[in-house]
Amino acid sequence: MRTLGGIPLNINNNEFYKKWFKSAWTYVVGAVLLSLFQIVTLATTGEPLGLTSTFVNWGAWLYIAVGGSVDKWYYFSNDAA
Amino acid sequence: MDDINTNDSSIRSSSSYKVTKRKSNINQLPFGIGLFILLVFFGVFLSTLSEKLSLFWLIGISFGFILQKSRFCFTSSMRDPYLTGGTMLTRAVLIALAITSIGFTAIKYGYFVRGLPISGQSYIVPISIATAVGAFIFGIGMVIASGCASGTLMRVGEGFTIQIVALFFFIVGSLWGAHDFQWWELNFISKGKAVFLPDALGWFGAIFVQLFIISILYILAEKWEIRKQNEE
Repeated sequence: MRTLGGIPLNINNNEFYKKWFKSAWTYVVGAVLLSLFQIVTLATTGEPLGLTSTFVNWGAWLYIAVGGSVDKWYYFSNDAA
Repeated sequence: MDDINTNDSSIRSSSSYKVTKRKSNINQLPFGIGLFILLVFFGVFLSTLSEKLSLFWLIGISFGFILQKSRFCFTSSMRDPYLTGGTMLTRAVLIALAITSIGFTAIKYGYFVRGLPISGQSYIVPISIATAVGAFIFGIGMVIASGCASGTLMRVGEGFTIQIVALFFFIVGSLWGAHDFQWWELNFISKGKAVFLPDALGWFGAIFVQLFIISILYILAEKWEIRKQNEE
Protein backbone atom coordinates (compact mmCIF):
# COMPACT_ATOMS: atom_id res chain seq x y z
CA MET A 1 0.00 0.00 0.00
CA ARG A 2 1.27 3.47 -0.85
CA THR A 3 1.74 5.82 2.02
CA LEU A 4 2.08 9.54 2.50
CA GLY A 5 4.49 10.18 5.36
CA GLY A 6 3.46 6.93 7.00
CA ILE A 7 -0.31 7.52 6.55
CA PRO A 8 -1.84 4.78 4.39
CA LEU A 9 -3.59 6.14 1.27
CA ASN A 10 -6.63 3.91 1.18
CA ILE A 11 -9.22 6.66 0.59
CA ASN A 12 -10.12 4.89 -2.66
CA ASN A 13 -11.66 2.09 -0.63
CA ASN A 14 -13.45 4.33 1.85
CA GLU A 15 -17.20 3.75 1.55
CA PHE A 16 -18.13 7.44 1.78
CA TYR A 17 -15.50 8.42 -0.78
CA LYS A 18 -16.94 5.76 -3.10
CA LYS A 19 -20.51 6.90 -2.45
CA TRP A 20 -19.90 10.65 -2.81
CA PHE A 21 -17.17 10.87 -5.45
CA LYS A 22 -16.81 7.56 -7.33
CA SER A 23 -20.30 6.17 -7.93
CA ALA A 24 -23.05 8.00 -9.76
CA TRP A 25 -25.74 9.57 -7.61
CA THR A 26 -29.40 8.78 -8.06
CA TYR A 27 -31.48 11.10 -10.26
CA VAL A 28 -33.55 12.21 -7.26
CA VAL A 29 -30.41 13.33 -5.37
CA GLY A 30 -29.46 15.26 -8.52
CA ALA A 31 -32.94 16.79 -8.73
CA VAL A 32 -32.92 17.92 -5.08
CA LEU A 33 -29.40 19.41 -5.27
CA LEU A 34 -30.00 21.14 -8.63
CA SER A 35 -33.18 22.68 -7.19
CA LEU A 36 -31.34 23.82 -4.10
CA PHE A 37 -28.61 25.50 -6.17
CA GLN A 38 -31.19 27.00 -8.56
CA ILE A 39 -32.85 28.59 -5.50
CA VAL A 40 -29.41 29.70 -4.23
CA THR A 41 -28.77 31.26 -7.65
CA LEU A 42 -32.00 33.27 -7.63
CA ALA A 43 -31.57 34.32 -3.99
CA THR A 44 -27.95 35.46 -4.37
CA THR A 45 -27.80 36.85 -7.91
CA GLY A 46 -31.42 37.90 -8.47
CA GLU A 47 -31.48 35.86 -11.70
CA PRO A 48 -32.28 32.21 -12.38
CA LEU A 49 -29.62 30.05 -14.03
CA GLY A 50 -29.60 30.70 -17.77
CA LEU A 51 -27.27 29.18 -20.32
CA THR A 52 -28.42 30.07 -23.82
CA SER A 53 -28.18 33.84 -23.32
CA THR A 54 -24.54 33.23 -22.31
CA PHE A 55 -24.03 31.25 -25.52
CA VAL A 56 -25.31 34.29 -27.44
CA ASN A 57 -22.68 36.44 -25.73
CA TRP A 58 -19.94 33.89 -26.51
CA GLY A 59 -21.14 33.86 -30.12
CA ALA A 60 -20.97 37.64 -30.25
CA TRP A 61 -17.41 37.59 -28.84
CA LEU A 62 -16.36 35.07 -31.50
CA TYR A 63 -18.09 37.10 -34.22
CA ILE A 64 -16.36 40.30 -33.07
CA ALA A 65 -13.03 38.40 -32.89
CA VAL A 66 -13.30 37.47 -36.59
CA GLY A 67 -14.07 41.08 -37.51
CA GLY A 68 -17.88 41.18 -37.25
CA SER A 69 -19.98 43.79 -35.50
CA VAL A 70 -23.17 43.34 -33.50
CA ASP A 71 -23.57 47.01 -32.54
CA LYS A 72 -26.63 47.50 -34.72
CA TRP A 73 -28.34 44.23 -33.79
CA TYR A 74 -31.74 44.74 -32.19
CA TYR A 75 -31.11 41.90 -29.71
CA PHE A 76 -28.08 43.62 -28.17
CA SER A 77 -29.42 47.17 -28.36
CA ASN A 78 -32.68 46.20 -26.72
CA ASP A 79 -31.21 44.16 -23.86
CA ALA A 80 -34.16 41.84 -24.40
CA ALA A 81 -32.48 38.74 -23.07
CA MET B 1 -13.83 12.86 -11.20
CA ASP B 2 -14.36 10.92 -14.40
CA ASP B 3 -13.50 13.94 -16.49
CA ILE B 4 -9.77 13.66 -15.94
CA ASN B 5 -8.52 10.52 -17.65
CA THR B 6 -10.98 10.23 -20.52
CA ASN B 7 -9.67 10.42 -24.05
CA ASP B 8 -11.42 10.10 -27.38
CA SER B 9 -10.15 6.68 -28.39
CA SER B 10 -11.36 5.04 -25.22
CA ILE B 11 -14.95 6.31 -25.32
CA ARG B 12 -15.99 5.17 -28.76
CA SER B 13 -18.24 2.64 -27.13
CA SER B 14 -19.17 2.61 -23.50
CA SER B 15 -18.24 -1.05 -23.04
CA SER B 16 -14.70 -0.74 -24.37
CA TYR B 17 -14.36 2.46 -22.33
CA LYS B 18 -14.98 0.60 -19.11
CA VAL B 19 -12.52 -2.15 -20.01
CA THR B 20 -9.78 0.35 -20.88
CA LYS B 21 -10.43 2.19 -17.66
CA ARG B 22 -10.15 -0.93 -15.52
CA LYS B 23 -6.99 -2.12 -17.24
CA SER B 24 -5.15 1.19 -16.88
CA ASN B 25 -6.46 1.52 -13.32
CA ILE B 26 -5.23 5.09 -12.86
CA ASN B 27 -5.79 6.45 -9.40
CA GLN B 28 -7.81 9.62 -10.04
CA LEU B 29 -7.62 10.81 -6.45
CA PRO B 30 -4.37 12.85 -6.72
CA PHE B 31 -5.73 14.57 -9.85
CA GLY B 32 -9.00 15.27 -8.06
CA ILE B 33 -7.26 16.78 -5.04
CA GLY B 34 -4.96 18.81 -7.30
CA LEU B 35 -7.91 20.12 -9.30
CA PHE B 36 -9.83 20.95 -6.11
CA ILE B 37 -6.88 22.99 -4.80
CA LEU B 38 -6.63 24.81 -8.15
CA LEU B 39 -10.38 25.55 -8.13
CA VAL B 40 -10.20 26.94 -4.58
CA PHE B 41 -7.14 29.08 -5.37
CA PHE B 42 -8.75 30.47 -8.53
CA GLY B 43 -11.93 31.18 -6.55
CA VAL B 44 -9.92 33.10 -3.93
CA PHE B 45 -8.16 34.98 -6.74
CA LEU B 46 -11.55 35.88 -8.30
CA SER B 47 -12.83 37.14 -4.95
CA THR B 48 -10.01 39.71 -4.94
CA LEU B 49 -11.35 41.04 -8.26
CA SER B 50 -15.03 40.91 -7.40
CA GLU B 51 -17.15 39.05 -4.87
CA LYS B 52 -19.74 38.40 -7.58
CA LEU B 53 -17.23 36.61 -9.81
CA SER B 54 -16.22 34.17 -7.07
CA LEU B 55 -19.91 33.52 -6.34
CA PHE B 56 -20.53 32.70 -10.03
CA TRP B 57 -17.44 30.46 -9.95
CA LEU B 58 -18.76 28.58 -6.92
CA ILE B 59 -22.30 28.20 -8.27
CA GLY B 60 -21.06 27.10 -11.70
CA ILE B 61 -18.77 24.43 -10.29
CA SER B 62 -21.54 23.18 -7.98
CA PHE B 63 -23.97 22.88 -10.90
CA GLY B 64 -21.37 21.08 -13.02
CA PHE B 65 -20.46 18.65 -10.26
CA ILE B 66 -24.11 17.85 -9.47
CA LEU B 67 -25.00 17.41 -13.17
CA GLN B 68 -22.02 15.11 -13.74
CA LYS B 69 -22.38 12.98 -10.60
CA SER B 70 -26.13 12.44 -10.97
CA ARG B 71 -25.89 11.96 -14.80
CA PHE B 72 -28.75 14.46 -14.94
CA CYS B 73 -29.93 15.01 -18.50
CA PHE B 74 -32.92 17.14 -19.45
CA THR B 75 -32.74 15.71 -22.97
CA SER B 76 -33.19 12.14 -21.70
CA SER B 77 -36.09 13.29 -19.55
CA MET B 78 -37.90 14.40 -22.71
CA ARG B 79 -36.61 11.74 -25.11
CA ASP B 80 -36.67 8.49 -23.10
CA PRO B 81 -40.46 8.33 -22.62
CA TYR B 82 -40.71 7.99 -26.42
CA LEU B 83 -37.53 6.00 -27.04
CA THR B 84 -37.48 3.47 -24.21
CA GLY B 85 -40.61 4.24 -22.21
CA GLY B 86 -38.48 4.99 -19.15
CA THR B 87 -39.57 8.02 -17.12
CA MET B 88 -37.20 7.92 -14.13
CA LEU B 89 -35.40 11.08 -15.26
CA THR B 90 -38.68 12.69 -16.32
CA ARG B 91 -39.97 12.21 -12.77
CA ALA B 92 -36.69 13.51 -11.31
CA VAL B 93 -37.08 16.68 -13.42
CA LEU B 94 -40.66 17.03 -12.14
CA ILE B 95 -39.39 16.74 -8.54
CA ALA B 96 -36.81 19.45 -9.32
CA LEU B 97 -39.54 21.66 -10.83
CA ALA B 98 -41.72 21.20 -7.74
CA ILE B 99 -38.93 22.07 -5.27
CA THR B 100 -37.74 25.01 -7.38
CA SER B 101 -41.33 26.31 -7.69
CA ILE B 102 -41.67 26.41 -3.90
CA GLY B 103 -38.28 28.09 -3.44
CA PHE B 104 -38.82 30.62 -6.22
CA THR B 105 -42.32 31.48 -5.02
CA ALA B 106 -40.97 32.02 -1.49
CA ILE B 107 -38.17 34.34 -2.72
CA LYS B 108 -40.43 36.28 -5.08
CA TYR B 109 -43.21 36.57 -2.49
CA GLY B 110 -40.64 37.87 -0.01
CA TYR B 111 -39.81 40.75 -2.36
CA PHE B 112 -43.51 41.30 -3.11
CA VAL B 113 -44.68 41.67 0.52
CA ARG B 114 -41.85 44.10 1.23
CA GLY B 115 -42.90 46.18 -1.76
CA LEU B 116 -39.55 45.61 -3.53
CA PRO B 117 -39.08 44.83 -7.23
CA ILE B 118 -39.40 41.05 -7.68
CA SER B 119 -36.18 39.36 -8.87
CA GLY B 120 -35.91 37.25 -12.00
CA GLN B 121 -39.02 38.73 -13.64
CA SER B 122 -37.18 39.52 -16.90
CA TYR B 123 -37.36 35.78 -17.65
CA ILE B 124 -41.15 35.93 -17.97
CA VAL B 125 -41.60 36.37 -21.70
CA PRO B 126 -44.66 36.17 -23.96
CA ILE B 127 -45.83 32.78 -25.22
CA SER B 128 -46.13 32.83 -29.01
CA ILE B 129 -45.65 30.71 -32.10
CA ALA B 130 -41.94 31.54 -31.72
CA THR B 131 -41.92 29.45 -28.51
CA ALA B 132 -43.28 26.41 -30.37
CA VAL B 133 -40.98 26.85 -33.39
CA GLY B 134 -37.96 27.30 -31.12
CA ALA B 135 -38.92 24.27 -29.01
CA PHE B 136 -39.31 22.12 -32.13
CA ILE B 137 -35.92 23.10 -33.60
CA PHE B 138 -34.26 22.81 -30.18
CA GLY B 139 -35.84 19.37 -29.71
CA ILE B 140 -34.35 18.05 -32.96
CA GLY B 141 -30.94 19.47 -32.07
CA MET B 142 -30.84 18.21 -28.51
CA VAL B 143 -31.75 14.65 -29.50
CA ILE B 144 -29.12 14.54 -32.28
CA ALA B 145 -26.45 16.09 -30.02
CA SER B 146 -27.73 14.11 -26.99
CA GLY B 147 -27.60 17.11 -24.72
CA CYS B 148 -29.37 20.34 -23.88
CA ALA B 149 -27.33 23.39 -22.85
CA SER B 150 -26.28 22.11 -19.42
CA GLY B 151 -25.80 18.53 -20.63
CA THR B 152 -23.65 19.66 -23.56
CA LEU B 153 -21.41 21.75 -21.30
CA MET B 154 -21.11 18.91 -18.78
CA ARG B 155 -20.12 16.38 -21.46
CA VAL B 156 -17.62 18.80 -23.00
CA GLY B 157 -16.04 18.76 -19.54
CA GLU B 158 -16.01 14.95 -19.62
CA GLY B 159 -14.15 15.10 -22.94
CA PHE B 160 -16.77 13.91 -25.44
CA THR B 161 -15.96 15.05 -29.00
CA ILE B 162 -19.57 15.06 -30.27
CA GLN B 163 -20.60 17.63 -27.64
CA ILE B 164 -17.59 19.85 -28.41
CA VAL B 165 -18.88 20.06 -31.99
CA ALA B 166 -22.43 20.49 -30.69
CA LEU B 167 -21.34 23.32 -28.35
CA PHE B 168 -19.71 25.22 -31.21
CA PHE B 169 -22.85 25.05 -33.34
CA PHE B 170 -25.03 25.71 -30.28
CA ILE B 171 -23.15 29.01 -29.95
CA VAL B 172 -23.40 29.71 -33.71
CA GLY B 173 -27.14 28.92 -33.64
CA SER B 174 -27.71 31.13 -30.59
CA LEU B 175 -25.97 34.00 -32.37
CA TRP B 176 -28.10 33.38 -35.46
CA GLY B 177 -31.18 33.55 -33.24
CA ALA B 178 -29.98 36.87 -31.85
CA HIS B 179 -29.38 38.13 -35.39
CA ASP B 180 -32.99 37.39 -36.42
CA PHE B 181 -34.47 38.32 -33.04
CA GLN B 182 -36.00 41.60 -34.24
CA TRP B 183 -38.07 39.78 -36.89
CA TRP B 184 -39.36 37.24 -34.36
CA GLU B 185 -40.02 39.97 -31.79
CA LEU B 186 -41.99 42.22 -34.17
CA ASN B 187 -43.98 39.49 -35.91
CA PHE B 188 -44.67 37.01 -33.14
CA ILE B 189 -43.26 37.55 -29.64
CA SER B 190 -44.68 41.06 -29.15
CA LYS B 191 -48.15 39.76 -30.07
CA GLY B 192 -48.04 37.01 -27.46
CA LYS B 193 -49.03 37.28 -23.83
CA ALA B 194 -46.63 36.98 -20.89
CA VAL B 195 -48.20 35.23 -17.91
CA PHE B 196 -46.92 35.39 -14.35
CA LEU B 197 -49.17 32.91 -12.54
CA PRO B 198 -49.42 34.85 -9.23
CA ASP B 199 -50.86 37.83 -11.19
CA ALA B 200 -53.57 35.59 -12.61
CA LEU B 201 -54.30 33.25 -9.70
CA GLY B 202 -52.86 34.94 -6.63
CA TRP B 203 -49.72 33.67 -4.87
CA PHE B 204 -51.35 30.76 -3.09
CA GLY B 205 -53.43 29.80 -6.12
CA ALA B 206 -50.36 29.90 -8.38
CA ILE B 207 -48.23 27.57 -6.26
CA PHE B 208 -51.21 25.28 -5.63
CA VAL B 209 -52.06 24.94 -9.35
CA GLN B 210 -48.37 24.55 -10.28
CA LEU B 211 -47.79 21.74 -7.75
CA PHE B 212 -51.11 20.10 -8.68
CA ILE B 213 -50.17 19.98 -12.39
CA ILE B 214 -46.68 18.66 -11.55
CA SER B 215 -48.26 15.92 -9.40
CA ILE B 216 -50.60 14.92 -12.24
CA LEU B 217 -47.65 14.80 -14.67
CA TYR B 218 -45.68 12.67 -12.17
CA ILE B 219 -48.53 10.16 -11.92
CA LEU B 220 -48.92 10.09 -15.73
CA ALA B 221 -45.16 9.55 -16.14
CA GLU B 222 -45.16 6.60 -13.75
CA LYS B 223 -48.26 5.07 -15.38
CA TRP B 224 -46.67 5.58 -18.83
CA GLU B 225 -43.56 3.66 -17.76
CA ILE B 226 -45.61 0.76 -16.38
CA ARG B 227 -47.71 0.66 -19.57
CA LYS B 228 -44.61 0.65 -21.79
CA GLN B 229 -43.02 -2.14 -19.73
CA ASN B 230 -46.13 -4.29 -20.07
CA GLU B 231 -46.16 -3.79 -23.85
CA GLU B 232 -42.74 -5.41 -24.19
